[in-house]
Amino acid sequence: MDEPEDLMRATTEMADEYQRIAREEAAEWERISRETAEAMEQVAESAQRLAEQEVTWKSEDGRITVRLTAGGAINALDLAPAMPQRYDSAGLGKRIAEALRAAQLKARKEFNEALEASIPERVKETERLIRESGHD
Amino acid sequence: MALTPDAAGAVIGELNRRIEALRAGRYEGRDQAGLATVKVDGDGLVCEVKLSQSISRYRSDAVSKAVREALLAAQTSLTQAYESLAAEAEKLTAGDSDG
Repeated sequence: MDEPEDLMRATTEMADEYQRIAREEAAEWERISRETAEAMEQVAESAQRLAEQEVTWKSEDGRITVRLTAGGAINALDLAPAMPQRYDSAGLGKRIAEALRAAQLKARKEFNEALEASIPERVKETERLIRESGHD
Repeated sequence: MALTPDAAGAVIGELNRRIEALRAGRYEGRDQAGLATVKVDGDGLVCEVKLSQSISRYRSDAVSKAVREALLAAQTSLTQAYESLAAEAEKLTAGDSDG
């Protein structure tokens, strides 16, 4: 009767199979990690490039134009001629503050949208896997 | 020297408190001629522009220049606050702080 030998063989085969699966999974995670790291480098480069892109904002009445980057640089603040004479100092300051803030918000919104669009699918997939594994 | 988990948790909590305080702050800058004062919030968004009472005597391009200069000074002030926090964070994580 070779029952103990059969059991031993089956156990060995099962252990081999688990090891094979573990090796494959480790290799798969290694590949995903490597590709994600490469993709994240590309995202960082995109973020830097997008942060330097110039955005133009113009007030509804056309009297104030702001050219700026999402990174915070105000390249131009163009006020219509005679604006300092048209408003009192408080009113002009308020208008300029509102214009600058609106321009900043527009630049940031466009930056975020462009950055989101530039994130490769493999990074989004990795984020999903991390979330599902409960390690976020 | 590595921090213990409890110490690391305390450091993270302290840093989060300081980041929140920094974000809740206002950072001011002025142009050299004293025509404009700009305040930005902790996220760098403009929240106030104050102009000199004599601003009506100046041309638009001069006002624009003054505002941009004041905004740059305000942004620099915010950046310095973040840099100070980063330096402080380095001390805290190295375990050199008394706090």
